[in-house]
Amino acid sequence: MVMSNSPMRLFGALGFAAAIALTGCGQKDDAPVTKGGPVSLRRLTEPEYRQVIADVFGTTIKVPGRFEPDIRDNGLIAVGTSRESVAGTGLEQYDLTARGIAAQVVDEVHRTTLVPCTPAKATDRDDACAAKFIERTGRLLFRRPLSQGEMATQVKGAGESAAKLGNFYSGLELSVSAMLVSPQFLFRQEAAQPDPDNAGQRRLDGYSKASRLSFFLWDTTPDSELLDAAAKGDLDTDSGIAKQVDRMTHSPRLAAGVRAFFSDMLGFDGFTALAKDPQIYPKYSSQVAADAQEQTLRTLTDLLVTNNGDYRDAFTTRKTYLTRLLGSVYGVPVMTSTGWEPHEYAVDDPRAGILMQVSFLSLHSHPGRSSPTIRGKALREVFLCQKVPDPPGNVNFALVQDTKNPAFHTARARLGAHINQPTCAGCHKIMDPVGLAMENFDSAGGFRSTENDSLIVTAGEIDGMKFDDASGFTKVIHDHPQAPVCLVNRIYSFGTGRAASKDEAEWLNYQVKQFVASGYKVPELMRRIASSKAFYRISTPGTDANNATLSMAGTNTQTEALK
Amino acid sequence: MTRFQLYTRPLGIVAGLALAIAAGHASASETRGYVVSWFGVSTYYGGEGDCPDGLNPMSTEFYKRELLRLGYSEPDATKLLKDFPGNPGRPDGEYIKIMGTRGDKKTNVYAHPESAADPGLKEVKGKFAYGFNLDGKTDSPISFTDPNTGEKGIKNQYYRSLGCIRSFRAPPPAHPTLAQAQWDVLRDEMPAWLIEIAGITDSKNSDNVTVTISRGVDHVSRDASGAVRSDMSFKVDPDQRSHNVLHGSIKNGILTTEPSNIRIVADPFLIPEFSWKKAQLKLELKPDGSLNGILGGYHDWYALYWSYAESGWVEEHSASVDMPALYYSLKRNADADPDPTTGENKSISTAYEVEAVPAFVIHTEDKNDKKVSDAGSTLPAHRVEANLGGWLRSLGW
Repeated sequence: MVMSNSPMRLFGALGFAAAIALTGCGQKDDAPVTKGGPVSLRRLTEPEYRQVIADVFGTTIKVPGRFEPDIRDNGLIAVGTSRESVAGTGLEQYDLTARGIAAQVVDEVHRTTLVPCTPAKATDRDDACAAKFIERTGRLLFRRPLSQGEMATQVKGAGESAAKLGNFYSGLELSVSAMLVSPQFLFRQEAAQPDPDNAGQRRLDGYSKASRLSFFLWDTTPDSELLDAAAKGDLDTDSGIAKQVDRMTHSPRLAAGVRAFFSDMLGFDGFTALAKDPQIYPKYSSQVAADAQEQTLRTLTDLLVTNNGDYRDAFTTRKTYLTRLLGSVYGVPVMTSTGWEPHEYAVDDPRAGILMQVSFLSLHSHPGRSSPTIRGKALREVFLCQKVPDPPGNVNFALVQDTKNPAFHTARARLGAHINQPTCAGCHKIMDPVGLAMENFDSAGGFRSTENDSLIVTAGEIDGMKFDDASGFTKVIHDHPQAPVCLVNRIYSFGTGRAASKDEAEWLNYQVKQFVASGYKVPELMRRIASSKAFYRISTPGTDANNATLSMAGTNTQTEALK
Repeated sequence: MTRFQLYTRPLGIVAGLALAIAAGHASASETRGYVVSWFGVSTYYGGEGDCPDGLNPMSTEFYKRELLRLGYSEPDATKLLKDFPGNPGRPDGEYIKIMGTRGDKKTNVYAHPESAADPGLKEVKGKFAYGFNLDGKTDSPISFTDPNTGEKGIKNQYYRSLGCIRSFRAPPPAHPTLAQAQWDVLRDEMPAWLIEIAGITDSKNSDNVTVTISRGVDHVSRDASGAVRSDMSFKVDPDQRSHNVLHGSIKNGILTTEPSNIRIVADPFLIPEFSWKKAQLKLELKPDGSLNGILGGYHDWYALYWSYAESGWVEEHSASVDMPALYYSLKRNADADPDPTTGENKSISTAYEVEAVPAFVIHTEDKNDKKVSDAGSTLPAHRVEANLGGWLRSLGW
């Protein structure tokens, strides 16, 4: 139960819903003007790479191996990709993967589908047929048409290889492999051009806009229609962008974009290195971890996309999906032998919303015990965009780690003693009350009412809002004014591949108000961002654009503005 | 209130509910579901006193004995066995072919064990064994004493035959090698075996409970430690061959059922089905929610023999079970169900260890048919707290 005044009242008092002018769809964009950000160069993430290969060549093409880990920056891998390069070992991995993919693309199973022509002789070069294949495939891989020089190089290389190896398809294989290790494929390279409407300024070219749009909304390379629109210059006009955004946001593929965003925001890449002690948590396995991620993403896409629901309900919804493995962790029966089935928690069940799901609970815990501190830190950073400082290097954690200390049966008791150390108290007061609200769930996400035979108390307070149990906690987070602010900030950063600048604070504040007025609808938020000028605007070198990263203080400023 | 509503309620239980359970307070009748996590021949391990005549020889030893009996010279027998154990996957050793046809006139000795003379199996002569007093007699010369309870009159002639074979001996908590190997096959190859206990009013003492043993359509899955995963959901196989309803009671936390026949389909690789007569269960409801105990009853002895012999040389070779010797021993020790014509007993007293972990047992294929699923879904044992929680809440706790 929420015991203080609900922040919803703050929003309710805003009363600006009717005054909002929609962007896109040919309507006027009344949003504050921004100065844009730099043209970006973003390395494909591994999920993006895999999705692109599936979309270009089909899902039957296996993508072997793993790539270099991505960098998380400002809460998102999408932002970190702008800082990434490829190391020597990473390039070797890309090369091996490319060879494996290329061999499948031209094998006897796939060539009839993926190669649009039949060579005059399968044992020799056929430059015309090779050109047809390379032109079509290269356009999708490079997210733009290949230049004449690129085409010539690829056709020549494929032809010479085919002649030398006595196999037309071996030549194509080499060409595909070469394209897959080229920077034009591995990096989303944006290009700027003079802006005819604003003398002295530049704008993204159409293909760069197409890539931003496609990876943002669909998590994949632009499709042929989007590339055609770029080629015709349609994406240089508001109406042209609005038409494509409308098409893409009404596509079932929007769910892929939503999934990609939340997978990034929730830090699911952390599962690759996550382990639990099997002696303490035997129910936790790699398959449970995989199912847990999928559960959360299904919960979110069902709520936000399928039902076009309120984002804040992600913290309180009782509707989710389960497999039998997850059912064994949650302690509920699952009828379906294999696969997923919908499930709804009972009204008085403390488990509600994505914070009480195995994915969040297990990802933000130690291998052998839960951690209110880590969970509290994660909640503040992931969902409220509030940076919590790292602990000083000389902290003695012995008291917190000793879960069998007879003097301190529960995590609350141990942390209570720990924060008596003055250097620890400040940050723990920010993190611990939040994390202690989730102490009814162990490191693997299983329910428990006691720890060391002592009752676990989950009551607490966050930012002046009190709650007396986990259920009340989820309602507080649901109503926390910073949650929608953070989401808008994160989604914008996810799409642009950079942290928002201070210059964009006012624009973001405007978007937050639009988001609130829309009923916290995420697809509408994505549509609005994708339709906005700010999403594509690039800064001009030498101007006085304030490109300092929008700090947590900046986001707090937005909250204040909302009030 | 439906059962679904009950089990989802419990996650909000408080410690006081657990205390209420520990204190044995009365509660509403509960049904608990389990999946069998261990099943194997019950073998008491008491040291040398179990087998005063010694243990039975390893297969290399009795193979050599048989080769000599068949007329091979010592050097030839030694030469034939030099490659032992050979290729475990293929009977490419010459000695294997000779051993398989060591019956009279080179008869397949596994299919026709009486084609060979009884080599004599060393049997258990110790005092103790687990099981039940299946015939009600305490002064029978074949009676054992339960090592834990001191109960006399225990009948377990199956153990008497097996108990001095090395692969059936292991100090607890280890399981005998062959029993473990057999369960490893059954557990992973066949659909799960399920147990439901209905009518529990108190975890420690309930006068009238109904125990249903059935087979699921789903297989067990393992957890990260390799054990059978608890709290999984299983649908019940509607095949009535594996549907057994027993009646019993719980006293001091021990469930005991009245004698009844139990039949359950197993796996053809080992034994197509188990079928016990006058079978009983004695299971402890453990604090962690699991079950641990004994299933005992009379079983067709030849079916048990064939569960070993059907694999031919494999188990004889790898587990040192001299098949003709086992055959004659089981036949000799059979203690029930005399053939009306020959007078020979067709069944032998047995006991098996049973362990089970909490599971959801589902009796319907139709997930939308809530009436059926509510009635069929049973609660994992530890979820009884949840039910109790709901009940106590309904009383205003």
